[in-house]
Amino acid sequence: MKKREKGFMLVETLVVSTLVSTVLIALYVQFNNIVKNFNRDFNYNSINNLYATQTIKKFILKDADGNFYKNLKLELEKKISENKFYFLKIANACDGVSDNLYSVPNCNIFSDLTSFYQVEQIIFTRESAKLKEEDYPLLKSQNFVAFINTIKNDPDPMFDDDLNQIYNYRIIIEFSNNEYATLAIAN
Amino acid sequence: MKNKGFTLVEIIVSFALTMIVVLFLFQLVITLKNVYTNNFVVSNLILKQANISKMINNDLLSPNLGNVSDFTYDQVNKCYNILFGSGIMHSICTDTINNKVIYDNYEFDLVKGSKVGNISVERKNTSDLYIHIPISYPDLDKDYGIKIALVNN
Repeated sequence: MKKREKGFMLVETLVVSTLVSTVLIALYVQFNNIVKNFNRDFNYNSINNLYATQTIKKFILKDADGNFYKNLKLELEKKISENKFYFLKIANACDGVSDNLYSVPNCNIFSDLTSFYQVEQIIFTRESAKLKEEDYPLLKSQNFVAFINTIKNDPDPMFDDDLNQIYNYRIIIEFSNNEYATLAIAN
Repeated sequence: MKNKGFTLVEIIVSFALTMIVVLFLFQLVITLKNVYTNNFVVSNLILKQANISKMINNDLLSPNLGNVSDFTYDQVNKCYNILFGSGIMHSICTDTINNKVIYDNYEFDLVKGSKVGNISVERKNTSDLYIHIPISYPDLDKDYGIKIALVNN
């Protein structure tokens, strides 16, 4: 066989470039994940947003006629049993009632409150926050879905010692600056 | 016949490849440095925000102090006074020169480089109060301030 004296073979070049590219791609993917997680961690459940969620939660629980929250729970259970939706949307303003969108009594005050906190959307679901994949398009935001998926499905339901009750439901809020917060509800 | 050394093309190609790799790694180092710097600043901003927010909100939500019965502006000290049902009064002020938020007897020094603005208070529906203490940082376009809504439903 005649000895090759100059240059690399095409195969050698390809193998080396493939190896180098693989290493670089792996590095990029890992690094991208670090940056993504870093940005994500600051946007989830910040103290300020948890207090905002707490204020909104209190508003929903203590509505003027006292029946809104009761009806909301009944509606959610009905939708789940009908296998329709696994969550209900609470309207930011006086948007009326549709198939899974509910407007809070005193919606004008609620509208002021949600615009002050720059709330994008509010959903009400069970504590486990386990939604159906078909529900995802209704949430209109992939980041919101990603946040919901981080909520751990606790096999042992959380217990509120003060109220002596299990946390059964949960509100999850998307704020307009891509921040998210959630609180469980114990009644 | 040439028996040793590389051809010009080989050297150019290898240099070009090395440059691409070095540029990529350099970019990575710069991004990592930015992440580290941002992490430090954002962590501190969020920590301060959490401390101030927790202190004020705890008082506002505390049953011991009672509901907010009056909220007035003190022209002399340029502070807002919160009068609770129990008769206790706490004041919130911002010191834009020394970059501080003052609540009750506590002074919160903010992160170096950040900027605290004047407190804005909006009254809606006669008894609802919307309080905003803006805190910004030059390179970050987010507001790291405090937002508190006192709404009677």
